[in-house]
Amino acid sequence: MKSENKRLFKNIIEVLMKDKLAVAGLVIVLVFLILGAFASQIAPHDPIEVVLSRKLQLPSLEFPMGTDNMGRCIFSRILYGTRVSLYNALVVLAAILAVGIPLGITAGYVGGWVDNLIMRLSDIASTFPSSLLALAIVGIAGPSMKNIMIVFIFLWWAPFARIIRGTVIKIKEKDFVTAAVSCGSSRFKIIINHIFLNSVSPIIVLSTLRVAAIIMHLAAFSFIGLGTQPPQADWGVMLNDGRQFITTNPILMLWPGLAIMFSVFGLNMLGEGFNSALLPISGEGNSQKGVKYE
Amino acid sequence: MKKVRFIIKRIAQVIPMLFIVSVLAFTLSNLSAGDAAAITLRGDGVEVTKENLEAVRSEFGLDKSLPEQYLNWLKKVVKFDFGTSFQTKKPVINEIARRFPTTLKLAITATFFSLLLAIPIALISARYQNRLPDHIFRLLCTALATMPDYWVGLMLMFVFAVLLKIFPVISGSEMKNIFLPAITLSLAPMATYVRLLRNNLVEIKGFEYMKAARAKGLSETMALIKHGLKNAMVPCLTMLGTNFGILVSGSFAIETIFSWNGIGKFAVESIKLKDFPVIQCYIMVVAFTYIMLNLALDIIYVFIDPKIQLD
Repeated sequence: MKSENKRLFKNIIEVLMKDKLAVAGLVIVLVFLILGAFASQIAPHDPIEVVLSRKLQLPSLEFPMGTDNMGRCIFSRILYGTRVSLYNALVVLAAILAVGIPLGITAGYVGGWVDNLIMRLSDIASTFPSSLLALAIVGIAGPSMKNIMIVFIFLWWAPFARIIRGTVIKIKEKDFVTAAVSCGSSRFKIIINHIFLNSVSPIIVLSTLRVAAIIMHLAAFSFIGLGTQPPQADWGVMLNDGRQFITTNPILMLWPGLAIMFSVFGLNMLGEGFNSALLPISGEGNSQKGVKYE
Repeated sequence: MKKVRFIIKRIAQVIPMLFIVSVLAFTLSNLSAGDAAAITLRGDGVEVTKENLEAVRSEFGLDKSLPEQYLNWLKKVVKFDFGTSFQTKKPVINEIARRFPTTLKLAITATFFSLLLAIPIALISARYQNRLPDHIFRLLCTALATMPDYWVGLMLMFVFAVLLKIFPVISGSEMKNIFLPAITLSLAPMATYVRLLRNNLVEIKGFEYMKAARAKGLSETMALIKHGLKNAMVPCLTMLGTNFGILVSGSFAIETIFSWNGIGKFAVESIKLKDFPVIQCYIMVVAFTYIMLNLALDIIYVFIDPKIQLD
């Protein structure tokens, strides 16, 4: 079993490596992760220190991306913004998984009205317009990134719960489970052990794509002023700051825009790569290049 | 029978959603009423003491139990009474109603653009399946799907308003300046339509009736347009409806960027000014429209698509 897992893993890596766009995505994601993790070491300047005497400078050796309207180093702000974006997105993802997986297991395992209730809740969560809930929550509790993050946790657990539920239902009635139960093992334990193997692929694919979407959405709310509040360094905030200078210094809005675009692009490409490497049956035309599960 | 059961189930699903929305909106109005009590006192030149505040609160019905307050609020909402805006001192419902056509114009134009672009692109991609045009358009659509709309909007504004000076930077919600915001909002939905339409068309290409159409002497392209397109469009309908619902809610970022005075921009401004009655009204009106639109589409869909699975 173990050597088989190892072989499958190697196989997946091989398929992923053959997919050029997925490799590009992986490299971009790794670069952003490193930049975010070591932002305080790499950043040449304080990201929020205002020095008006050096405002709106063009890129130079000292300021690789120039300075903004407050004389702050844009490069340092982008680095700290990377940290904020990735950190927030990963926190939201972790919370979504922490909500969605137990709910999915409960729904699939218990069944009956509990299953019904959880699935109806997931229907509501997946059709509820996120911008509307965000506006309501921000209206009640005030604009802040934390409140926006809560909105996405409330709404985006649903697909994960559904995947897990499907897996649980599929293996619950399998012969080997019944056999193991008749030998005295706990049905619940067996199922928990098998959920991981059976649903890890779709969860990885969906998680990667969702992180990209979360980054894009959180930046949008910061951009309109309902998320991260200035002077904090955040891509959305920077884009909004730069917007005022569209006619005089358009370069200000170029950097945060590129950062959002590249990170989202990288994650999407990686997610698509995972999709064709891990889920060979789903999606059109993926079956030829997918991993063979013999 | 199956259809009726599906429709009943779908309607039952709407009720808890409307309830959640109304509770959220009620919470907002309750918050605003608390503030309004103090504001009323100050407005009357009365000192804001605990006793005075209590008196005004009971006058507003704030001393009643929450379910009772909720029902009272609901009675007013049914009559479209959402209170007055703190910013403009006018009835909120009028303020929203005044801005709604502006948003609607943008939503319709954006939807029109997205279809106008998506249909020919999907036809070309399906006609030249797995050949150069197909690859180029697929790459283009993937790129468009990864670019946030507010970033696309800013870039388009930079190129067409700042560099080329074809459009003004501030659109001022005028119809002649609708092109940039509409095209911005149309691109991401367009990418999803192209993907879906192309795949449907490719699937349809192999069907018997398409072979019959070609045997009749129609060219590949004409067969696709005449017999394939209509059938390929059906599964896109739900997506079209959902996207239209989102557009009608008013895009916060795009309306703000292009200073398009629709309800989305108004809602964001109201949040910043803590104008609770407006936010409350916006949430109720938009949620109701959105939920009902989707419900209606799902029901229509049951009747036009024989392939739909109702379980």
